[in-house]
Amino acid sequence: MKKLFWLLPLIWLSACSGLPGPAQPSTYYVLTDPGPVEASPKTLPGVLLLREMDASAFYQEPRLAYSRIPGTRANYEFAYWTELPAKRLTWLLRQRLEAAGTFVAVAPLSGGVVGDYQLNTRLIDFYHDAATPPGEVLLLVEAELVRRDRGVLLGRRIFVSQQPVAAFDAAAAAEAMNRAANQVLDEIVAWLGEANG
Amino acid sequence: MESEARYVRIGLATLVLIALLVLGLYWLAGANSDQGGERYLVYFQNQSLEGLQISSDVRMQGIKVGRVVDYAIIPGQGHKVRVLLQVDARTPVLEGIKATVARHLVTGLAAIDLDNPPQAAVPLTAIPEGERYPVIPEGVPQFTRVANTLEVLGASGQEALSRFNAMLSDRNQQSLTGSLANLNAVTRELSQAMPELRAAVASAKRAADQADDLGGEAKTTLKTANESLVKVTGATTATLTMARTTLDHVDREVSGLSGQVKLTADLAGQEIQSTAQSLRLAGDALQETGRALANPARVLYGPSPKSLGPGEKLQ
Repeated sequence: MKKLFWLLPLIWLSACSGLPGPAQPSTYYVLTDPGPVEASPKTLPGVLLLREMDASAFYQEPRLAYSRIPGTRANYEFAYWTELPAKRLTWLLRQRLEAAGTFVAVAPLSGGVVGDYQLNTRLIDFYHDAATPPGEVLLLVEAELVRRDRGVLLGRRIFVSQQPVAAFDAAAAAEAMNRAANQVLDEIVAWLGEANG
Repeated sequence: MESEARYVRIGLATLVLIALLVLGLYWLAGANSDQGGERYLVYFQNQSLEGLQISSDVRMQGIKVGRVVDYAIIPGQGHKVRVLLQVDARTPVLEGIKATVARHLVTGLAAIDLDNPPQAAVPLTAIPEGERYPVIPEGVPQFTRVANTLEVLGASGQEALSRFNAMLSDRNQQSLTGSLANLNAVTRELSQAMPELRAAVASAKRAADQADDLGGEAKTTLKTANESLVKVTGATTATLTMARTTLDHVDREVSGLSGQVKLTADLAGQEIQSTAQSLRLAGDALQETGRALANPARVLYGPSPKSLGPGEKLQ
């Protein structure tokens, strides 16, 4: 009985020896807005509250997304975002709006600031279309502007950006995603100026 | 000789007795009929003569003044009875006198009542043509007058009752009930208000007295009031300025309070929105985690070669 007791750790260690060894190291990418930032022609009166971007459950995953077959999505195994893309895009958008000076002030929703407008956004798609190498990056964001004191929807629009990917890998995809984010943010800021003008 | 003398005395006594008997019978038979009196005729056609007899009394003012001498129903006029009266000569029978039949309620015996007019008049002496004695007109007995009065009174009473019934119709009764209720309410309220009314009257009286007293002092008071009014005007201006300042302050406070309420509601709404969004995202993340854990082989052995992304490879 004692011999059987000593055999159990040996069996466990032998099982661990069957596990795969260390794989490709994971890479963490930072979604950035490379700019440049263009100042708005006029500052709109009022405070804009920015609600955190909604995203589906699939995009509440820190790994970069890609698609080899149309209509499907998958995640890179070793390419991660440093922050969830929806949350990161919200922050980038707030930085962009403040830098552009579109509104008197921009604050996050539930930040203790009373706002005149509210911007609701939703991340619809943000992936590397890898059906045809090297592929392209596709970013779709829906935005709607609400007049808070009257509860009126001032406008809604879906912004789309397609950016080619330089190489068939995660690093090139991340770089294209930065460009796509830059384009979409540019368009959102311009649209806000128009929608409230 | 003595027996013949007795016969003479007996014969004389008998004659005296017979004479006395004749005189008594004459007296009894109607010595009064030839006594001094006047005869009158009465034609009755509206009154019953039941209980009336020959020698029935003729009365005036309740006193017997004569008797019924004769009566007879006039042929061809069945409802008309001719009655002959003999009235004591000392009894005044005047123009306008009326004759009525009075009947005793117990014995049923009837008598003739004569009723002179109230005002003075001449004695009734005129004898109508074709008559032997003056004619006394038939009067209306007291009982008949009472009956007629009662009949009229009954008719009037019936009419009054009819009108009274009409007045007491259901609708009028309801109206009367409502009016009485209202009157009761008014009375009650008036009773309740009576002390106040008395107090008001007393107060008005005192005010009137004071007004009288003040009449002489009014001039002085008005002068003083004018001076006080000038002072009060100044004070009022200052008070109004202060009140305006106070109202402005209150307005600002209210506006501030309204803004605070609005701010609180706005921030609470933001928190609710954010909390709801966080809950939704947390639910989605939990679902995604569960999906990843559904494949334990990937956790133990790592990703399969088929799941590698573009440019990725296993070492």
